[in-house]
Amino acid sequence: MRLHRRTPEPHAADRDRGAALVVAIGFMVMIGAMAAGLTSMVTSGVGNRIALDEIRDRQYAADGAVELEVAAMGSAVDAASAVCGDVHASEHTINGVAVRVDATLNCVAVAGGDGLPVRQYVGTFDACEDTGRACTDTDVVVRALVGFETDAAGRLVTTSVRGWSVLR
Amino acid sequence: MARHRDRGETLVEIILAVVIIGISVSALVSGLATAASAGMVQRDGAIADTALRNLAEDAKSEARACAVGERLALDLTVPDHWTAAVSPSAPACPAGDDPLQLTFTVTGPTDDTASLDVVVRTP
Repeated sequence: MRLHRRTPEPHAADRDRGAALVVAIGFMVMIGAMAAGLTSMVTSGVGNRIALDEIRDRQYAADGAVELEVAAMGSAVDAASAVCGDVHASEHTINGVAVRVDATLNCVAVAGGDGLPVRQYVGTFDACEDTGRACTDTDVVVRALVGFETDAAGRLVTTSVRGWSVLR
Repeated sequence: MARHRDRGETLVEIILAVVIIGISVSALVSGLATAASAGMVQRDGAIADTALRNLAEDAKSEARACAVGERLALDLTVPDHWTAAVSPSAPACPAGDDPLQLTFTVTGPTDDTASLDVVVRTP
């Protein structure tokens, strides 16, 4: 005859053993998740702020660089040293951002008020972050189209902005 | 004898649980304080950004309208508890062929500063 030993049924107090520790660990996990969420939120917010500041600095740097180049081209037109079809690249550092401006001067002959042909100058300016190569459509920050009007003597009379787009 | 041993283990568990919960709550409070602090920094950054953009656009607008040789009328109004300065101070209207670079600086209530360089030109 074989005898079998039965495992005794656990008492209620035995089943509750470790419950407080389990609750504490669960609480700790919950707090950890909340802390991770908070950290993520703070990091994301600070990162967004920094990114927005960089965009602002880049936009005003490009804007300023184009202003400088418009003035330079205007001076060249005024001094009759501007060359039609000339493509000119220049670099400027503003707000700590190195900006490249590719400027092109186009000339067209239009009929003046007296019927005589008058040369009209139109400059196009593409400003982008300076990467050492020409600005492309995908990295242009500011694109401007500026007209330079001269009098009969060839002196610059008016500089008119025909288009000024902030693209990025 | 068994009942005595059970009571002892429960006490250790409770002490351990209290310690764990205490550490967790401390971490959470610290995290909340950091989040609140970071929120204030972000708020100040947003105010500074808005103030700088307003100052820059106002300067560009004034430069377009003013006559060469006159003083550039800059409005340095910023939100309460903030101050603004421009360099060079009291600038003259720039000539069309000689753009002027202005540096605006705003200072917040916690002495945090932000600055922006702007180039203005009179057509």
